[in-house]
Amino acid sequence: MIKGFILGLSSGGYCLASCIPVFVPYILSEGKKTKWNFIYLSKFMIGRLLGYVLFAILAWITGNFIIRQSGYKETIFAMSYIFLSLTLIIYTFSNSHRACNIKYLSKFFNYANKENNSTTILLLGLFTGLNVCPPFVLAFSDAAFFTDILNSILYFIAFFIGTTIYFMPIPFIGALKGKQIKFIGQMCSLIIGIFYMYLGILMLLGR
Amino acid sequence: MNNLETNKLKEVSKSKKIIKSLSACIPVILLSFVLLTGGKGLPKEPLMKVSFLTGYAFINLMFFLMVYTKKTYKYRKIFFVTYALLFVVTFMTNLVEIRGSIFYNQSTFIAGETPFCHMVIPMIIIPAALTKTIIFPGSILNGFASIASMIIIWLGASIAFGRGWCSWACFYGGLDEGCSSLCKKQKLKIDRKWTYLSFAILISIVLLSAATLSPVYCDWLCPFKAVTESEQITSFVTIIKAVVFYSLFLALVIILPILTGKRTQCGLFCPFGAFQSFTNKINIFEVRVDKSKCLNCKKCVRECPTYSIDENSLLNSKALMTCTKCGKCIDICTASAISYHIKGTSIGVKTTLSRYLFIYPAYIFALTIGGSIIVNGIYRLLKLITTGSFF
Repeated sequence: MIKGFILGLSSGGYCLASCIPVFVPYILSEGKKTKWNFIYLSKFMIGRLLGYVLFAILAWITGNFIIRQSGYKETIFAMSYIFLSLTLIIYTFSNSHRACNIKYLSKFFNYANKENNSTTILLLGLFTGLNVCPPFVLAFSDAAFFTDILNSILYFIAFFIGTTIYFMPIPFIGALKGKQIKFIGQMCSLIIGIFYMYLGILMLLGR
Repeated sequence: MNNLETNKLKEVSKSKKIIKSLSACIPVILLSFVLLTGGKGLPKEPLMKVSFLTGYAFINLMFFLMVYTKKTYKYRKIFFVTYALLFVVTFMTNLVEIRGSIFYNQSTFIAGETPFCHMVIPMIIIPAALTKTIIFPGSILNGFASIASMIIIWLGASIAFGRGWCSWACFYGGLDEGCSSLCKKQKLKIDRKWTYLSFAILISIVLLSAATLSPVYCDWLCPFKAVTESEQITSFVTIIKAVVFYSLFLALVIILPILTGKRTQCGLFCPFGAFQSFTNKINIFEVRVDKSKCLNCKKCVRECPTYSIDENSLLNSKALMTCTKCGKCIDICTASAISYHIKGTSIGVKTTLSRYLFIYPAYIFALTIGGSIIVNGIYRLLKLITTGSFF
């Protein structure tokens, strides 16, 4: 476990870099106070942890088959990119459909637009957790040597805690507030969503 | 006083004005000579000598006209557009001469032969801080447009002129400005909320560059790949990239500027421009509106090429932080209410002095970067005319 924690600490910078494109636009779009951003961060982290654990369980159930067969691994990562991008795009329109006058979409996006709705941020965390990031791959190759699944999961939790420390300053972006910042955040979510969609499709096509 | 005497007086005052303007140009005349020759005297090759003299005359004529007519925008624009067009000629021919092609591939990357461009600067910050790597595959110190030289040039310009970089030194901005000048009557209006797009692109590419450890804007979005260097088409991905680059260039640098009369790439899309806007906060020059003179005609709001003046900014008597200090609002203001201004001084006082204090260093900086590009561009074109080849 200590090894996992230290690995998380030493490579948390990379982890942070992998996750901020999803999390920062979200909190900019929400435009809430710092306190709320910490709540969002915890939800995002829970989602991310779920992603890690899910991947670990999946790997153990298949006897590390999906890790050894790069085709399966790639498909999982590609699908997670696509779902991540869809979540981002749907979230963007759910926040801005009134401004955009896309009225016929309002029913569809109504659920995602609810106040205090946790689904979007949990999904963003989950799909980000499932995405390939160099420290995660490193942790995974380490965890593959454990003989039982519980040790492996504990290792991942320790790794997760180590990396989480790097995320602590992000909620302070809440100091930036205003209509314009919210609008910029929504635009960012859309741009990043489109970029991830493209990456996912390319990965799926094996290019 | 009869007509003859009035004409004579006018002529005398005109010659006085010319002499005064010429004297004001002496620092630029001397400095440009030193900068263009590198202190080595006139070039020996006849064609290069002709190019040098043409470029030298052009550069100094533009500055003389800026001083003589007291119009900044018009002559800066001629200089800027010429510089941008000749940059394309110089850059592409230089690449062909050095690398054999304007296309780059993996081996070009590994050899560090990719010239560093200022657009990459915002993207390298987070990866450099978190992972201590520079994500752009250029040369740190050696060669054509090294990383260190570009960062130093950018830093100097940012401290001195802030976003003035975008209207005086950026070698891409002139293309956008040239096309926007072709618009005689605005045919398309773009909602001002789209000016936030450049900030959204800035944040997105900075974050995505950190996540992917690659310069995402250069890889996927830069419209100027169409007129500089681009990736060799070897796969499906490179085809898509090429389609994106050429479409964005057509839309943002040619079609939209012609339809709107605005610098759409610079004002709505360029992430470096958005990044550079923040440097407007730290440099001493700004564009201010003297409320006591302002007629509230809003001509400046309508005409600003980068959407940098709006009703709110007029109320605050200054341009927005995205102002590129191009000088258009200053030149078109019929009440002379807008002027270059030095922070900490009173608005509307000694505006001529403030203007000179801005345009001297700005123009010298522009010719430091653009001077040799103009001379080389003219040389390549003359070579093409006389020999049928650029080389």
